[in-house]
Amino acid sequence: MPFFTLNQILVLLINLLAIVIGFLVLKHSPHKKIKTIFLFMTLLMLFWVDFAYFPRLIGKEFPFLALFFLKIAWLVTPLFFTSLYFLTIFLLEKERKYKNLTKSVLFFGLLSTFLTGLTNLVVADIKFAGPYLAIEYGPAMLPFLAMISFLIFATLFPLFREYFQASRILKSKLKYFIIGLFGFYLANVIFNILFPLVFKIVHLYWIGDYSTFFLLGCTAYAIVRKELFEVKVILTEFLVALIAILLLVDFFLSKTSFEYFWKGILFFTFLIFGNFLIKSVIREIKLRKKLEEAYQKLKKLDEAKTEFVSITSHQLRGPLGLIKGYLWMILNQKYGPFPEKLSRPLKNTFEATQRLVKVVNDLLNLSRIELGKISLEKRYFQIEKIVDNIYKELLPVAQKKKLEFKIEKPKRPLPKILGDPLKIREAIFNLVDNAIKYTQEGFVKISLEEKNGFVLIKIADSGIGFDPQEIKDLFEKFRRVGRGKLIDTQGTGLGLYIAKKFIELHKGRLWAESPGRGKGSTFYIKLPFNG
Amino acid sequence: MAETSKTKNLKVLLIEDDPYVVQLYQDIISSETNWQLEVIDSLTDLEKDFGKIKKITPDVILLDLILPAVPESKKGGGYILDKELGFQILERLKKDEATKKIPVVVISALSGEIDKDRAKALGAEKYLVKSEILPFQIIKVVEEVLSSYNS
Repeated sequence: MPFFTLNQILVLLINLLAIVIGFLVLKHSPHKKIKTIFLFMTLLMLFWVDFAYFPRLIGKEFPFLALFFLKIAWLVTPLFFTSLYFLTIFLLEKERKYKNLTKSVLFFGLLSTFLTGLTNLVVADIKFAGPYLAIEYGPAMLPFLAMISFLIFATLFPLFREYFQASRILKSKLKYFIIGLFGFYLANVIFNILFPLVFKIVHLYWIGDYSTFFLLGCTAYAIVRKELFEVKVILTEFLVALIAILLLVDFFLSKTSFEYFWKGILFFTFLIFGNFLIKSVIREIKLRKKLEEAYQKLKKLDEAKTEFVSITSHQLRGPLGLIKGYLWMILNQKYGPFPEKLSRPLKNTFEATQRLVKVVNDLLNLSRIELGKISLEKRYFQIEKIVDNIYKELLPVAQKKKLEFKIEKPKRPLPKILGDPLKIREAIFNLVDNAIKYTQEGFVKISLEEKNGFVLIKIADSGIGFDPQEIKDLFEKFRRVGRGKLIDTQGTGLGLYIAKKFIELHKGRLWAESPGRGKGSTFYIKLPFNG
Repeated sequence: MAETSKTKNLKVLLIEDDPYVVQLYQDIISSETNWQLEVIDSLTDLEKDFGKIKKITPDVILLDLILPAVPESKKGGGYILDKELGFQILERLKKDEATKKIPVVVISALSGEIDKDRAKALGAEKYLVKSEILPFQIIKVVEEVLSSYNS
């Protein structure tokens, strides 16, 4: 009889898969209560499916035993519905809120279990019609159905009430549980109640019974669905287990010893490779998790560094400003005359302090850039004025080194630029300051020209230059290229980085060219008039 | 010039907690001008402090932003540094009828645009960054602010 064969395979499959799912949930669920309820549910489901099947298997020969088995299946039913209620409440984490509902669910759940299991009021007797089994219902069948309906209602009521207030994560979990629940309820109402009671169709009962498995699968997915990573592992494990079970079933269906032999080998080979597969998936996921964690840690560390630099620079500026102020007072004889031989050391100290202020400001600018806290104070200004001003400030330094220091400006005044003059000044200053610093003899030339909508500022020198492959490093923070490392022992290596960032904030471009080491270099700033 | 503001007997109020800074400003002002410097070096209670400021009736106020404040939780000992306090005082000064006409120059270690913008929006006439100025500039700025106020 083909029906029994199909049923046999289905029952066997459901049993095996339920065990697999049970283990998976046991392994992956972090929630102890939910885990316990779920294992309880799995057990109840197996009792239901198996004990509904046994009477049909042993049937006519042992009618008393068949009735006994069927009663076990029936008494398990209200318990299964009760366990669904508890799972819902635990998933929602609302045990306290529905205390009273829980009490009535327990009462009706146990009452209906008692009625079906220990009396003949619900299930009176069984009859066999051909291969099929029909149940004779007792007088309490309708109250029993009412109690089951109450259990269904008691489960759905809190579920829908809380669903709309649930967090996004909980919602996505509940979604799968609800799908499973509906499939199960629907199949039960149609195939276990409507068909046998109203239409007297008895041979399709198993669709209702086995829909418990659908519910179990959906619930398991809902429980372990913590994040996508774990689902991947669980799905792999599930697939491997499923194929292994099918191979095992196939093995037991073997007809010849040769078939037994090679199907056995196939089964064991698959087990070994399946194991490898699961392990490698787990390893990959762990690795990715670690990488993600390390990345997050690094990001935090970088932020902490920036924050630290910001705070320290602020605190350094206080005393530095004071030292500068007092030195200026002494140098300008506000405290009276000082011995002539103190003049040079005092001046040097003052200059060193100025330099230190510049370093601290660079660090502060860096931290502002990295914290994204920088903003532009835009207004219209004449770029020539700024360049003249820088020229005046750095002329004494260039003269000291006996360099030829020049500015070339267009004859007509350039259009005004819209931008933050202080930041643009800082950028140009850094470039000119660098050019003088890295040029031992020869010239430093600044030139300005207008080029369709842009101003092009060129700073050319006959200094140390750089190799083409060093260009990339040039604009990195804390980098000094080539011989710059030896000459500029005071620089932070931040000047070019900050200059570039400031120009880019104005939608401009800063770049550098050099024919090679020792052959001088030219730095360019291309700035839109309306940045 | 017969009488510059340097020779006038102006009353300058400095709200600043760092004694070294107070000393430096005292030194430059006494060496260059005839101004009289009043100092408030710590703040405990906004109401009381504000009363003190009113009593002094200064011609110009130099205001530091990061000031020590006695927090509620630590009454009776200990203080925290808080820039909010500086801003609060600035706000009060510019809202009160008695003080809103006194020009305020903020001299702070803070150099961020956000702080500068905030101080200006609250009504500060000038904003100087401590590490960027030299002592003589304080006098220059006070003169500038007063002359633009008088004209």
